[in-house]
Amino acid sequence: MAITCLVTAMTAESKPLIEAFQLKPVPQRGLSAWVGNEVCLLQTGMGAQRAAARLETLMSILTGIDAFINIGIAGGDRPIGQVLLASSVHDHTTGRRWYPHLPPLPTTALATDPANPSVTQEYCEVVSVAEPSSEYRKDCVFDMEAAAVLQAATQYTDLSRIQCVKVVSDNPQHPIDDFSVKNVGPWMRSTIPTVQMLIDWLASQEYKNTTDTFKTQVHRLVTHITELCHHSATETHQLRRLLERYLAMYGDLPSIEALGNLDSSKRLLKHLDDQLLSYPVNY
Amino acid sequence: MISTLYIEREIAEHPRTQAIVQRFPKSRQISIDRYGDVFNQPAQDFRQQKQAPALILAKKHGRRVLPTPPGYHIGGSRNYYFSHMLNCVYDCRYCFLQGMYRSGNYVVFANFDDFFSDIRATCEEDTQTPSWFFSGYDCDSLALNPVTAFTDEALNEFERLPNARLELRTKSTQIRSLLKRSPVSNVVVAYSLSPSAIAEAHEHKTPSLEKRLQALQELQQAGWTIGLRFDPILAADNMQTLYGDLFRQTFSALDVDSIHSVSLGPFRLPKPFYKRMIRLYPESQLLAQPMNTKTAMVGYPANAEQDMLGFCQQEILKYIQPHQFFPCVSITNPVQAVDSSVTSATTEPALSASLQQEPLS
Repeated sequence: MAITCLVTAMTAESKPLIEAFQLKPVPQRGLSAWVGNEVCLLQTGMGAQRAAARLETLMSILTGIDAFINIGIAGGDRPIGQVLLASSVHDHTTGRRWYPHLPPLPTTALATDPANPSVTQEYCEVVSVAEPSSEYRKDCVFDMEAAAVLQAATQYTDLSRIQCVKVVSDNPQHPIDDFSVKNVGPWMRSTIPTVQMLIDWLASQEYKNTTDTFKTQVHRLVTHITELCHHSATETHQLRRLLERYLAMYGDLPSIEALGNLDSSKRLLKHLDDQLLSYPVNY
Repeated sequence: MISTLYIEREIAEHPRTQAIVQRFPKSRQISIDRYGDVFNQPAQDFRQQKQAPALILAKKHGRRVLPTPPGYHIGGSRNYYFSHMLNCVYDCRYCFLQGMYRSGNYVVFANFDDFFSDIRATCEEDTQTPSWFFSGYDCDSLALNPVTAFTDEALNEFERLPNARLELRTKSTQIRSLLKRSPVSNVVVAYSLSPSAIAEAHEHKTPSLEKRLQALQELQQAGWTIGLRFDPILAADNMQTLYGDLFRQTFSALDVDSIHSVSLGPFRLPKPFYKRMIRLYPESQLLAQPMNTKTAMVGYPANAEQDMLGFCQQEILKYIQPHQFFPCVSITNPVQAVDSSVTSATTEPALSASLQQEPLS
């Protein structure tokens, strides 16, 4: 089952999402993580280093995560409470920039989806800085974690499966000194329709699930076969590709019984190759 | 529907950029420095992006017109290609672009005038010999024309360049802009054709064979010079029936004598592209078929390939004259090439060589 991982920094940011997605704590010391049906949440703490380290820990204990959404507050010259999708994420320290592949707009897209007025179509760059910023700009918002999350998450998946949603918490009229953690809950709740839209879009990419299932099926059989019959590293690689081709051509993998006497890796590879050569290709 | 436009700041105010942007009033518009920042960034999923591609509007710097690999021609001796666009609106499972680019997004270089300026300069290098320019290299020449209007401008340019020849390579039926004007005598509109069953199985989002043939008929009736590209030829147990029918259907629909050129090529991919495509589409039946993967260029086993090409050549030459025929690789088996001059000119794996090139960024 593919899981989308929501990544937040603070408790106040996590709480509304944990409630909305009915997540249960992951019993792991030193890790603030929750898991539910097809969604989990990782609370990293403030700053880039924590974000990267916690994400790595989570990936080592929870399997099935194939998408990430970083969600949190940010400052910019925009209305307080405005929800934004990151069109790019810029690491102010290193100068590196990522462009997540954004979901398609609904065909009736206006500034806001009329079918769901709380799903935002607003977007801008997110600039991650090392210290809280009192600079406010119209063309971007500032946060402290997005770049670290992007940097870490790209080790595990691609940029269409890593998204970033920010809600404006401070602006020139309400600078960071006026910031109250009490307001974070309502702001984060307002991100939920957008986050849900992203989760739905990520889940709708059926080919990804098909491909993953395909690879898992092959991997299981390769593991099974190599337990029964020694294969060198090169032979294991050849076996995997032959079985992938077999599954693609025949639509199903051969049973262990159908593979005959598994006493020789070379004989097995030859057997599979012969099967593929004899497969009739007709249109 | 394009949901996201990335626009290079340098080209944002260009009238052509503005015209393209106006076609997508509801799309997101994201300013960027250089197209490569988006198009070439790591950790992209070509397959996912292909489902909802973004459009990147950019300015092409550096060399815009490049010589084709030796042997890649349809009768000329000075041969060049250019790419005003990277990536294709279609989704053909055999296409090398899937293996060449990290991104499934489209790039359109809005500075057409610079391309035309380079084309003029190339022609002026040798005014005695016609220069051929191939435009459908990294994209389909016509498919995005309603958005870019590239063809209209290219035709205006080539009309003024009697010493130049242009090949528009396409599977698209977007020919309205061609039919609206008088034919341009130094332009060949070349269609890639495959048997219907193969097109349905592997050429996703493309017009059917029937529609392509209808477009070819309309173009020919309007006086345009046309070309046919049977490339790639795909293996099948019933390939002789499939391709025999295709050739019969195609040549019976057209005025054969006025066809400018017919080319023929096998399925072939540089090995790194092939490997990347397998990772993208592990379940693809086409990529699962037996291939010779021991050489730098992956293709069907040599004997099988030669049998297929030999059959196709034999069939094609039942309908056309040898001077119209341009195989992309040498064909030696089972039917010897009919015209030795043609064979010698195409002994090099011409297009194959071109496929080995790096992305033109």
